[in-house]
Amino acid sequence: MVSPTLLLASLLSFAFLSGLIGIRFKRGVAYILPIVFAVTLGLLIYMSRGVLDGGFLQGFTGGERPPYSINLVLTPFSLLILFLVHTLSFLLSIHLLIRGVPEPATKFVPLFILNILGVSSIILTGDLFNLFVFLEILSISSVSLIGFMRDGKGLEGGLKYLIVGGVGSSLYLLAVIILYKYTGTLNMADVGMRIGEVPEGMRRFVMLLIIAGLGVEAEIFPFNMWVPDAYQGADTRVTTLLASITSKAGMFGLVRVLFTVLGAGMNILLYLGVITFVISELMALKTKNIKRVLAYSSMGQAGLAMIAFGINTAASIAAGMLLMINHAVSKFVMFGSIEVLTDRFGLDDIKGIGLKSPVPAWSFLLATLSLLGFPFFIGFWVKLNLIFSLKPYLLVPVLLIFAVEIAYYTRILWTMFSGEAKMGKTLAGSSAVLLIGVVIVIALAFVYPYILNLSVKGTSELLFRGLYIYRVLGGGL
Amino acid sequence: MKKIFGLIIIVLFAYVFLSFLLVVPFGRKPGHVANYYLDTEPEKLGGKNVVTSVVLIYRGLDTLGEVTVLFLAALGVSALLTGMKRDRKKIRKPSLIVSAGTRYLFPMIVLFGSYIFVHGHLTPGGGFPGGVVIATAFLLGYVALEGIGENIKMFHITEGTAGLLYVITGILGIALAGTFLENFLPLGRFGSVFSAGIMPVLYVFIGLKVGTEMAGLLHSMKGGEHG
Amino acid sequence: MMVNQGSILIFTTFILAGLLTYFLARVSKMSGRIGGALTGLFSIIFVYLFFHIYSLPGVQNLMFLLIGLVYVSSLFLLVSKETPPIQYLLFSGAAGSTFAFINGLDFITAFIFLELSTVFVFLSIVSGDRKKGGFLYLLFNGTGGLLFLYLLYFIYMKTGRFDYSAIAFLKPDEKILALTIGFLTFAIKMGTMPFHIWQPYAYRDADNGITVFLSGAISKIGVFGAFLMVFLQGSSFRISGNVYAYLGVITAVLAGLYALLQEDAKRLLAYSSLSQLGYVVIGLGLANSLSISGAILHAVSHGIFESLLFLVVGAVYIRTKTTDLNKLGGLITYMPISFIALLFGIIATSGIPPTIGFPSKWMLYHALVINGDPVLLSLTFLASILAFLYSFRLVYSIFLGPYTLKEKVGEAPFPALAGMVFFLLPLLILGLFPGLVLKFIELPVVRFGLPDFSFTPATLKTPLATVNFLTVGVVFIAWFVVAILVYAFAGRSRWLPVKNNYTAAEAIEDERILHYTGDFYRFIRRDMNFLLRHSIQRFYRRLFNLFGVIGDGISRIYTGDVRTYVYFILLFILIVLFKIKGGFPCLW
Repeated sequence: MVSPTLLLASLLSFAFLSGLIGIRFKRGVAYILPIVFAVTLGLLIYMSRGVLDGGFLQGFTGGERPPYSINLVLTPFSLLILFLVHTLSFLLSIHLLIRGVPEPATKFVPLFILNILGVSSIILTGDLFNLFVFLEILSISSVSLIGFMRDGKGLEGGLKYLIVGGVGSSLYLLAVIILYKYTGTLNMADVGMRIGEVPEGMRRFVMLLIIAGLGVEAEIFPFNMWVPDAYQGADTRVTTLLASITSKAGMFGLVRVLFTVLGAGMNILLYLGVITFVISELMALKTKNIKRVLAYSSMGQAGLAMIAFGINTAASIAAGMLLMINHAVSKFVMFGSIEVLTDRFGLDDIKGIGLKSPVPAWSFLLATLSLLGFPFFIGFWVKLNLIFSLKPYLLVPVLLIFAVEIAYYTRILWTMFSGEAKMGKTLAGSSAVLLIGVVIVIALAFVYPYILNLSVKGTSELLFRGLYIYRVLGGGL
Repeated sequence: MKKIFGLIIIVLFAYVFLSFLLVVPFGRKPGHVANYYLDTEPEKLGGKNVVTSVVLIYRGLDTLGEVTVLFLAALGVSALLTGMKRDRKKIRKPSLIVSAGTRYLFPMIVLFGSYIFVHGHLTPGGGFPGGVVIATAFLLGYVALEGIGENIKMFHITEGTAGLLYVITGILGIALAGTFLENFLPLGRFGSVFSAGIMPVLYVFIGLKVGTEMAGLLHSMKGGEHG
Repeated sequence: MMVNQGSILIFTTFILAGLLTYFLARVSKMSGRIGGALTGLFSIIFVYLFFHIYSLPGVQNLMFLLIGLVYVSSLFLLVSKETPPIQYLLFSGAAGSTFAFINGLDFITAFIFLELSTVFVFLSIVSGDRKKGGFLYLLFNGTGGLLFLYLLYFIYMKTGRFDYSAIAFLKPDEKILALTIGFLTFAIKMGTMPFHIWQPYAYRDADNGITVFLSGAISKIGVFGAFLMVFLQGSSFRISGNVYAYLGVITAVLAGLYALLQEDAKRLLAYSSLSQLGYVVIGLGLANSLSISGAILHAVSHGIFESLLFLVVGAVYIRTKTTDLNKLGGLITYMPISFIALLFGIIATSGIPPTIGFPSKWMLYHALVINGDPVLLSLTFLASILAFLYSFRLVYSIFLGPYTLKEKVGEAPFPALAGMVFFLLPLLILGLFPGLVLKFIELPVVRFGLPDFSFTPATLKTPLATVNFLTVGVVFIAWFVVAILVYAFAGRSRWLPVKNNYTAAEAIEDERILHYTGDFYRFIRRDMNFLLRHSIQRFYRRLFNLFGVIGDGISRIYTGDVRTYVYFILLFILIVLFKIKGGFPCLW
């Protein structure tokens, strides 16, 4: 009997198991990471058969059907993002094995697994309160990871995230409580069906609370202020995880709740997306710290994705999904390369590092090209799809900010590839995994019609709430 | 300036907040899902305490999540505290009365905690309170006794095993009954200790896990060895 | 979104050829060279055979032929030296995307291959030793691509189609907007004046073989695109055309001035290329059939002579390892064939018969005279004078004067020489029979009004005059031969050792080389300083800073104080609630 709950169960058992193994084998515990994600990837592939054709795969708990019990729903959209998340986690875990897991590994490994557990569950869950629980798991594990190196910057960033995230999740919880009080249920599909029972004004209030609550994780303005501090403060290996993988969960959760449960708020999402995109990219222009620049760029991309979802047409939503894929893979490569290249991140410090160790530097360069949307990389198709789904009045600002993006990335690349390299960290281990990331970005461009097809299938569940509700409450297909 | 600004925002927000929350019909009749639980629970799950069946079965995934949150919190604290330098103040030895009293109290508290989580499906309480009660025993031990609860490895092994068993019970639900965390044991006589299927089993795991986790948390805050 | 299948096939062919060459070159240098030449030639023959070139419309066909010519010569230069294997691959990619761009008949294909050419050229420059040009290239051309994306969106939204003919369905004012955007894109690709910053650096920093292709072929993407924009507008373009004509003439003059002051041969050629492309823009801007024909003809001649010049400089670099004009000199003794090639190149640059530069400039001048704008005309003349000056600088500094290098060098390698010959033939033949080129564009230019000129292969009749290029060319050649004979038999020159020069009784040391190439046009630098201060670069820097300052201002919000972060979240809810409800709700 295959059920999405198995994915959660296996992640959880591996997390507990790694705690047990860590007692005896302090070093070897890191080797569990690739095994975990190989298993989950296998499960995903096994589960994907019906879903690839556009069907839903539901996992029930407690012997009850959805409104009475928590359910997990594997839809085409969630399959796409889950597959992305677990592939990247697999790559990242191998990269970490090569580069060295942050010490103490016995703590890092379960934290990593639980972080991915949080991401996966937020993507899978069909229950509002369950989302909150896993949001907590996500944010607590992220906080611990950000401060994992126990240096001042990291702890500061973690603390900021803790506070802002705490405010955010309590706002979200409040929204869930209000919804429960009016509809008498917590299941997303059920609440979505009964949303008419909530008075109009209250619905808007709830929508605002949810945008504010989940917006913290989705990195949209003005809830994303913790992002630069946390990304800059955290160890770069952790930042790779946060920027490429973890940030996708918040976006997914926000989109899922707004589209499926409330069926409202897309306009606010659109405006917030535009504001986020514009100001984040502008802020990156003169920033002197490369990790901070990449953090601003991540926020900008999150804003762009929110623009895509906010426009709320099939084409734009598909473009938003593609954007999430492109951003995740390229940011994985970019942060990974930065981690390999240097341990100091000022613009003066990265001068000439591209000449010192070519493989990661060129990986960075190629991933940047993909992020900027040049052809031969998946980013190009993303950009094309996105631009064509934009509304006319958005076109000029978005293109202008694209130009700004090109400008500051050119500046960074130029800095990396010119001048004399300072003495820095020497290269230990190989950075082959980054090359795999680059290969993925290129290969995706060639299988682009297939990916587009898949994401177009994923759009219907967001565009037509009734479809999702019917399928979930009707027992799933 | 910033403080005044913040004050204004908070006051305004509180006002808006209140104006919305006062409208929400809190405390009125339960919703349709709650009614369903009240109506069908006794026959279906055989728990005398409906809250327990909601917590453990209907919303079992949430509970599993909460247990994980606790696990995570303990993990995070011990990860963040590892290698931190603390100036150890000189520990004053507890007086004879305190330590002697504790020596007698310690097993009683542990027993009481166990009672709470074993009877979770019958009476108010359950795994979380039971576990915390057990942890208070260790807190007392750390304060008043020496050499109690120093074996952090045992804590880790217990909590890991309990967590694993919890998940495995859930998976057994899939295998034997069809869905995750579904009851697959006989219901037994309504109201007795051995009833309500897997609920007492789960509460034992939760109680053990929460107890050891909290104790471990206290241990790492105390500044002991890390596992 | 259907991409032109033929373009994809062309691109794939070139990429596969490039990959093959790359692996061959990894095996050994020799196999790389031979394989590179063979696969390159094969792919171009393949493309020519299978894309039955005569089925393409006129200008496309012409560009196809021209780019093929440039491609083969650049390939020859690439294989005649130590080229890193990856450059073969990237060069092939760039060439494939250029061909595919020309082959496409819709905006989406054009956009894809425009961006692809940007990527490949960028990667190619950046994988070399000097990288600055590559990043500038990416910055400008990437932004240009965004402009084109705007055009794409605009046309699709207005007409729902992607093919070039969609532009005919636009309203007149929309046409002007579309044209302006498209023209700007291709102006960036060509490097017209306000967007030229990248060009000298990119040409300097690229591999020599790539530079040949950059100047001869990639810039033709810009020319073709700009032509396309003008063509699709038809005669309605004439309203805004004069602006572009002035843009072109400013480019021609200023780039010519800059070219005078360069100390590096490749940079000099970059500016000269820019200046010559200015003529093309003038011709396109005037937008009548004569000027457009002249512009296309000039684009072809530019493709030929500019690539030839870059090829020679590349060959010189192979032997001397430098392109610094102050270090070179007197190479005529050792590289006579290269000298002759360069000589013909600069003759064409200056627009002197019997080369192809003459008929094209002839047509452009006639168009200017008919147009009757005295400012345009005189500035264009000024640009031609400048062309004489910098051409002379080039030939003198490299080949004439005393020999300045320590050791002797050989003639250019054989493939490079073959490439030169490859260019010299059309340079001369088309100079005598420009009608062969005009034949291709006979039909397209009708769109700009019935031609007021007529031609046969060797003659051209405009309202102003009739000229037979064959006669003119033969007369020039005859005079040239006579001059050489006079020089050879009645010349009174004699060779002197370097020190036997006018020293005015001053004792000179051995190390000091009496060579006048250093800071050759010092007086121009002195007198034209007000024009040449790099004000445009400063403009871009200011633009960057402006946006940066805005960003800095915004980043003040990100105070680093976590309290303000929380306030912002609450403030957001308050403001949006206020906006939605039009006021705060009442408590009870």
